[in-house]
Amino acid sequence: MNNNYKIGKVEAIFAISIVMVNRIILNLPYSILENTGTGSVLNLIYIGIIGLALVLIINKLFKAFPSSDIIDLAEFSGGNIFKIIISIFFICLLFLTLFSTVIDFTNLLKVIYFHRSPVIFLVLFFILALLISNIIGLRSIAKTISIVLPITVISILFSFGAVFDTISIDSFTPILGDGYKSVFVNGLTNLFSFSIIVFFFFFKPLLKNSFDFPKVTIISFVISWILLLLTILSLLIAFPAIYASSNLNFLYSLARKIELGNFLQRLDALFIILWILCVFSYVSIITFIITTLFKKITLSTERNMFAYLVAIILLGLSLLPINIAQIKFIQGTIYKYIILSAFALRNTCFNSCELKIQIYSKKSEETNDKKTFYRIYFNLFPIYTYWLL
Amino acid sequence: MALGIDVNENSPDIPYHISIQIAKNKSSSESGGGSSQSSAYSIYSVDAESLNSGISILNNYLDKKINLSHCSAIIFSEKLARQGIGDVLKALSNDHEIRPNSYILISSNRAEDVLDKVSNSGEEFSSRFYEYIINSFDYTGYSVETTFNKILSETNDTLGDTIAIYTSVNKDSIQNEGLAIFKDDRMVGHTSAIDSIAYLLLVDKLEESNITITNPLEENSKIDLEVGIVKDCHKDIEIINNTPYIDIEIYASAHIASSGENFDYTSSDNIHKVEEISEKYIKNLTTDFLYKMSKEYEADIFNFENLYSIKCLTNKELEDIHFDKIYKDTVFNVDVDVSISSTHLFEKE
Repeated sequence: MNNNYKIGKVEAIFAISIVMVNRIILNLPYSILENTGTGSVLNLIYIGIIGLALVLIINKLFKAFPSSDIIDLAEFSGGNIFKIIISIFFICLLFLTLFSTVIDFTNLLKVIYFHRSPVIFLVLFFILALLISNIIGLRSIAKTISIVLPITVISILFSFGAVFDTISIDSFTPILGDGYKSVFVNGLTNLFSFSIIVFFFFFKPLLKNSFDFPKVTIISFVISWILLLLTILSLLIAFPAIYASSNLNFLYSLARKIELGNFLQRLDALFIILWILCVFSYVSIITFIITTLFKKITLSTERNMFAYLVAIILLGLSLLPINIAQIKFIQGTIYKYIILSAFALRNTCFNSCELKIQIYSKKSEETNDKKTFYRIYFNLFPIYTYWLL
Repeated sequence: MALGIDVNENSPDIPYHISIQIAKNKSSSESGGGSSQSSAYSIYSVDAESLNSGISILNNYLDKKINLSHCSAIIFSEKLARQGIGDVLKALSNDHEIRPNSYILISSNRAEDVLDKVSNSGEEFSSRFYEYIINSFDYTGYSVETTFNKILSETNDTLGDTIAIYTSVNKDSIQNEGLAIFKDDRMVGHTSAIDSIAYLLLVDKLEESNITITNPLEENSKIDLEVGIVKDCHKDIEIINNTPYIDIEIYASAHIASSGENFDYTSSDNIHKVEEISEKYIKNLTTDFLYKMSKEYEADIFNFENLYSIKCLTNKELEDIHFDKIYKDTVFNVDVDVSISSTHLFEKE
C-alpha cells in the first residue's frame, strides 16, 4: 500500500478516538441516559468491561492475521461471495453512519446558527471536506485529527471541570436507575456506544507497524470510555432533569451553561467551531474506509473515483426530505442494532476463519466444533441475552 | 435591554402582554429633550398569543431587530407567575441568543411598570440596575442569584422546586421584597427579604449578612452580627412511618459589628452568650423558613427528595415513597454552630 495510506500508532489512536468524540457530539450520551437514567454510570462501567473484553478478543483473533482487515478474513473464510456480502454490509453501515452524522450535525447547525439556510447548503461543505481530504490522502486526515482531537478532548474535559464544583453524589442516584434489569440486561444495548470497535476491523492494514494494533485498540478504547463516562457524569451533574426533558443536543446545552466569572461566558460558539472540525475529520475517515471497501470489492486500484461516488450518493441522500424524528430514529434505533449486528458479524468471520485453519491443520473435528460453538456463544452472549429477554 | 411579561387583562384569547425596554440611540435620546431626567430608554409593548409572536410583532414595527443576547433581565408579573411560566421559559430557551445568566425577577406589580421605573431611575445602563438588586446577595444576604439557566433547569426538575427574586414597585424605584416560591413552574407564594438569609445559609451561599440579636447582658440593647458560613451545612434525611425527618447542621461564623454600650468583648463568657443567642436566632430563622416551605407551600426548594435518592437503589423505590405527599409532614431538626471570631476594632464598648 502507498505510504500515504499508512499511519503511525499515535495517529491511529487519535483517528479511532475521534469516532467516540463525534458520537458524543451527536448526542450519544442522551441515548444512554434515556435507556438507563441515573443507572448510566454503573451501566457504563459494566458495558465498558464487556467492551474491553471484546477488544481483547479482537486483538487475540487478529493476531493470527497480520495486516488483514475483516474483509480479508471474510475472503479467506468464505471466498469472494462472503467477502462481497460482508463488504456490502459494512458499506451500508458506514453510509448510514456518514449520512446520519452529516444530516444530524447540519440540522444542529441550522437550528443554532443558520435558521434560513437550506440544510443541503450546509451538507455541501461537509461533502467538499470529505472529498478534498480523501483526494489528499489518509495521512493528511490523520494529521488533521492529531491537531483537532486533543483540543476537542480538552473542551470536553473543560466542560466537566466547569460543573465539577457543583458535584454531588445525589446527582447519580438512585444508582440503579430503573432497576437491575434496566442496567444489566436492557442496558446491554448501550454496547452500541462503542461503535469504535467496528473501526478496529479496518485499521490493522493501515498501521505502519501492524504489531502496534493491540496497543492502538486498547488505548483508543480506554480513551473513548473515559470521555464517554466524563460526559455522562457532567450531564448528570449539570442537568438534574436530564431524563425528564430531552434537549436537541446535551453537549451544546452544557457548553451554554459554562461560565467562568463574568468574563468567560457563552463558550458554545467556540465549541461549535471545534465540533465542525471534528465532524469534518470523522466523515473523512468514514469515507476513506468506504472507498477502501469499494476498492476491495471491485479489485480496483483507483481510490479517488470512489470518493467522488460517496460524495454523490451522500448528496443524493441528503436531498431526501427527512425530519428530526426520522433522524433520531436512524441514530437511536436503526444505528444501534446495526452496530450490534456488526459485532455479531465479526464473530462469524473470525470463527469461520478459525474453523478453516483448524480443518486445514487436521485437528479432531469434534473438538473443533465444540470450541467454535463455545466461542461463538461467548462472543454473542450479550446480544442473544437481550433478544431472548 | 430587558423583557417584561404580563398577563393580558383585556382578552383571554391573547394571554400575554409583552414589553421590551430598549436603550435609545444616543443621537435620538439627545435630541429628545434637554432634561437630565429624560429617560435613555424606550419601552414598547404588545399583546400576543405567545412570546415568539410578540417578539415578531415588535420586530415588525421597531426600527431594529430584537436580539435577546442583550437581554439582561426578564421580569414576570406575579399574576403570570402564579399561572405558570414554564411555557415562556421553554420558548425563551429555544432562542439560542438568550443569555443563560439573564436575571429573572418576579414583580408583585405589572412587569411593564418595573421596566418603566428602571427606565426613569437615572441609571445609564439598566443592566447595572438589575445587577445591584440581585448581586447584593453577596454583601447583604437579602437577595439571591436567580438566573435564567437556574430557573429553567429547576422548573424542569422532577425532584425539586425553585425560587426567584420577588420585587415590588415603590414610588421611585423597584425594591427587593424577598423570594418568590415556585412549585414546578407556578409561583405559590413569597417570603420576606430576611428569609433570603435562611435560604442562603441552607444552600451554602451566604457570603455576608447582618443580623441583629438581643444583647444577652442588657435587655433593651441589641448586637449587630456579620454572619457568614464556615463550611457547607450537613443535611441528612430519614423517612420513618411516612414522615420525613430532616437533620440539618449549619456551621456559621460571625463578627460583632456593634453592641451598644458596656460590652466587654474580651470576656469569653460574653462571647459564649452571644454565640448562644445567635445560634438560637439562626435556628429559629431557618426552622421557620423550612416549615413555611414544607407546610405552607409544599415546595421542595432544597431538593430533599433528591437527597433521599442516595438511600434508594432504584427509581421505583423513590417513587413509592410519594415524597410530594409526605413532604408537608416533615419534621426538621436544625442544629446551628456559630463561632464568633472577631470583634472588629474594639475590645470594649
